[in-house]
Amino acid sequence: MIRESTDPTTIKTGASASAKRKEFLRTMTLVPVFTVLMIISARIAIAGAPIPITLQLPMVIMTGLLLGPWKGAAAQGLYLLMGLIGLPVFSSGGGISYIFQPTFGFLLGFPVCAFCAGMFSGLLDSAKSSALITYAGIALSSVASILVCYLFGGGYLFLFSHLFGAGVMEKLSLREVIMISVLPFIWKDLLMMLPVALIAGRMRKLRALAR
Amino acid sequence: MSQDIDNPIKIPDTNEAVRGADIRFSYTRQDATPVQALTGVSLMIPKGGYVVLIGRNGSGKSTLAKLINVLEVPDEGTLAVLGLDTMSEENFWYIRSHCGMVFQNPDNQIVGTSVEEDVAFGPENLGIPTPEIRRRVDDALEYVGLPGLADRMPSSLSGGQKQKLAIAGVLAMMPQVLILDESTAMLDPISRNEFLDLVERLRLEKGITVIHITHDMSEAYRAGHVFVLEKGRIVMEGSPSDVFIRHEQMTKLGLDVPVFAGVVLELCRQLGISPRKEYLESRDAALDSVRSIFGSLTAGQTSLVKSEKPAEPKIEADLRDIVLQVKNLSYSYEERSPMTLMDISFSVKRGEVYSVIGHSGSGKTTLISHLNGLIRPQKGEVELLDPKSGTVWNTRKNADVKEMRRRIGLLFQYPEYQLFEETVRKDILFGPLKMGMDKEAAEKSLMDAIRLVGLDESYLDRSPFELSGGQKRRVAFAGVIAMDPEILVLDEPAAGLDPVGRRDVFRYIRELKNLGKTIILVSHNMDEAARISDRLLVLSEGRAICEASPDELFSSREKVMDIGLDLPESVKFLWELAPDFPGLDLSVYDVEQVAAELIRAAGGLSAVQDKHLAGETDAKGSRRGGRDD
Amino acid sequence: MIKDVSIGRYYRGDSILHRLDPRIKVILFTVYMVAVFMLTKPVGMLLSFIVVTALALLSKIPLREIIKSIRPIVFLMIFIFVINVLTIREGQTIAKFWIIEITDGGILRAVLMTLRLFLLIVSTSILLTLTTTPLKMADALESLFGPLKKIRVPVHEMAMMMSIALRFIPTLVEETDKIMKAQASRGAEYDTGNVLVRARGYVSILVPLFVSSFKRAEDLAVAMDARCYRGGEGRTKLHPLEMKPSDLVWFFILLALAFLPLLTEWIFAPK
Repeated sequence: MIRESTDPTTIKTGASASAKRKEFLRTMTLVPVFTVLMIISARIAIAGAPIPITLQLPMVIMTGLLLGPWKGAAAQGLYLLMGLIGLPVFSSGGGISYIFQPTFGFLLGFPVCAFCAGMFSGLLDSAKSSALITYAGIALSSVASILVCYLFGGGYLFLFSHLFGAGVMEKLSLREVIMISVLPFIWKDLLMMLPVALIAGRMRKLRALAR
Repeated sequence: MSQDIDNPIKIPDTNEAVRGADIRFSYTRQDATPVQALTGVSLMIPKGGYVVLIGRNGSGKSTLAKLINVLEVPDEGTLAVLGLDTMSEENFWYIRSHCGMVFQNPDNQIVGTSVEEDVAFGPENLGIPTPEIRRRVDDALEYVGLPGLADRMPSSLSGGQKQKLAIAGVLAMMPQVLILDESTAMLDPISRNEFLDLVERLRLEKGITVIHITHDMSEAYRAGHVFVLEKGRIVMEGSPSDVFIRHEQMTKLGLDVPVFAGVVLELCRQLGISPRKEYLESRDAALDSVRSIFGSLTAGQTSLVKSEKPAEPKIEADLRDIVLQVKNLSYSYEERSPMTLMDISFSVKRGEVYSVIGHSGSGKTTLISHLNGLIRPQKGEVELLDPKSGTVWNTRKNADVKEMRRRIGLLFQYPEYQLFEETVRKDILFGPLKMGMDKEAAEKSLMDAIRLVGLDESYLDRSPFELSGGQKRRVAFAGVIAMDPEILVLDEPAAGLDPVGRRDVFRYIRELKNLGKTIILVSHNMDEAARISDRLLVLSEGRAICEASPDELFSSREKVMDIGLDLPESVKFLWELAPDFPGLDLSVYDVEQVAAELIRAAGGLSAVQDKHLAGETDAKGSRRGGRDD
Repeated sequence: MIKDVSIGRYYRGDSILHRLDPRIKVILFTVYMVAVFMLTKPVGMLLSFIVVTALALLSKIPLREIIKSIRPIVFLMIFIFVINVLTIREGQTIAKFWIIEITDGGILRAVLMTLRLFLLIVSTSILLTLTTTPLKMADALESLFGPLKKIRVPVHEMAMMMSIALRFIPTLVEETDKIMKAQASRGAEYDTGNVLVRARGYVSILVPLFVSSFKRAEDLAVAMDARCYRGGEGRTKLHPLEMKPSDLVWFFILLALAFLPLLTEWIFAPK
């Protein structure tokens, strides 16, 4: 268990079984609801951008910040699973063919990314941490999470082209990988952190609602 | 979780469904404030009974329901359900599997991805064998009247159907007790009645005990016994007439009485006689009591006094100025799918309250989404007019839409979800600043808005998420009012509020009208719409079938029957009395006006008092009705 | 429409493939993926194409629907084709321009690779996504990975969560739409204005969406509690998965069909 339930109604009954069951049910409902939010955010595309920009990445980070590392990663894992078995939940569909997309690594990075962001969520819980720490924590977690995402994105493309290269594409050099998978996208992802930054001040209140 | 449902426990032979003694329960809210939810409740509910729990928001009704279903356990006191102590772990699953619960929001309690999967969810959890689940699912769907929909997605059902589905899900678990936690709050009147008829059938045919929590006082009459809760305590109990006869206390508690009971009580007050409990036993009893109060009067004495009803001051001069015009509007969500709106035309005049009436699914929300360009017309036009300058804006033009959104404030149903800022102040200012108001004007507008909705300045720096439901509604209201729009479109503004909340909302609307705002009100509550509106537009299955003033509409029985409209309770009541009171004006909607109208039709106050009540007239209680609300 | 997500790309029908036990379909799905991936020769590809056509006929799914399932990967196929044409240098040079060199061997390899991807997508779509409802898939995965429960992998929980997610997609999509409309009425902008204005517009959607999601999750947890949900243990099902003898027969037939193209490839392989 990452976090002990602080809901006194459950502790007071003395029945730890009851508290455990409530925590279990809360996880069972919070995780899929956030998976759905992820599905929705993949479809909210920003009009007029040259390449599709969606709210996916900010949503990944907020999943982590609001649900904590384990539940956050679970929500993203479920998202991935649903997409891979063929539900059209990714930004341009779904299905096993996605593993051949050069950008699939980013999707693989989502659960890890949410986990990383979730590691910082503890900062939001302690009332002692000042606004500065909160903001710094959120900024740090966002940047770290983006880096993790790119590590997976680029790494996947690199490994894929080397391991299964003969299958669908030739081996790519590290430079090519960065050219293809990092440079065209990173600017928009950094830009998309703006909504996260704007919500930062409300994050603690929102997180309190998660319990 | 190790507890086994089949664990043999001794089931006591008792005819008590629930017995509680001095139950106390408290919990801590998310913002760390402790709440004393129950402060000593004692009650007994017999098996097969139908009881209603009423009380304001936060009075502890829902907490009590949760305790009965062992979703929580009391801190102090004892609570036995079906004769079993809820504190004891081994009784836990037995009680819970024999008490079914239907909650307020249909969307948040359906688990299955198809109708039959959802009904099966409970039995599956109980570990019932597959063929038996199949049988129970089919039986339950048949019983609630949803057969043939087994494979449908729950999201494609209407609100009323979803709540029936929730009942079916409970029914498949073979419950002995059914708890309705404000289950009717989000339904329109027709679905509400269907739903409650179904519940009544369950009680009669299957002997299920019904515990029904509600804000709607007229629903209390379905029960044999009423508990009134206030601040975690039962403050009144008894038959509906026992409770409603003490209407003064009810009003003090922020509650209400059903319309027909209100009419009788008001009539007694105006005549200066003391009401008797028998008058309030049922709706029929109320009708009879009115007849008997006026019993000795003959028809010849009527029409002595002319009706002097119209009390609402109308802004005649402005009424000629059309500010909003909808012409031949048609819309369908997808090609080839049935039309949501069909050839709708109407115009709204400055300063009036214009109501759009219709059941869920009649296209009301689609219609109002057109008014400020959220949906652009597929066919037809929506135009905003400035009668002074002669300017016309049209939602088809992108450049006009922004201006239209500034001049037309739109508040959807359950608007509290739209709050998002850190503080109430920022949230209310969001709209005005977005609409280009300068800081100073916006601040002034903010102060006017919060004064109107009755919030004081101390709220401004709090987070909107910390507020209660009713307070959030006020903030959402203020957020739109502060934009200082000329026209306000309000979609079911009082939905889900308790009686005091509802009254407040209609008070704001009156005040806004007095400030010269034009108001477009969407509602399925006929009583309230009739009381406040200047004109009504009746919408049915996407068509505008009638436009009239309330008086025109409700004075002719034939007309209303033709439309198939639901009537305001007050009008229904008067209609039934009409044969006994020749010359009765049917178009009165306030309890006080109805009582006054009855007296007038019977020959006037003095005539009634002289003739019938010579002995017991008490001058201090008898005044003419029809005063300001 | 995004609301359709919850039924996936399932095409309602009644065929042998529709009725087949979903667990068998999941296994076959994996088998076909690997088998198609191992194809290298034109002759195997051709045979595989015939097998896939047979699958399509067996499923009674109209061609139009099958083509629809390829649409999202058309871009990917073009991408892979172009990358391969440009990077593989085998056989004779057909054209040469600056640093770009196109060879006939390269084109052949590119065609084969694109075709392989095509076969992969079509066979797996027919076997699984087009003929199986998402709920059945979740059940199948729960059953197949069931043994992992012993090492405390939350298999039942994942399947249950997936079903809850499917249930909530239409509800939350509607909610999002409602919030967007409400905020637009208050002047929020999503597509116009500068970056900061738009970001603020999105915040005005996201925060209410979070608040309402938490509320819904909480309500649903209570509702599930009230209906005696306590995890997968001791739970029965309205529609349990049942393996019929005919399912096994079909399993072996389809298994053989998967490996047939590979066999011919080895047989016809030049020594």
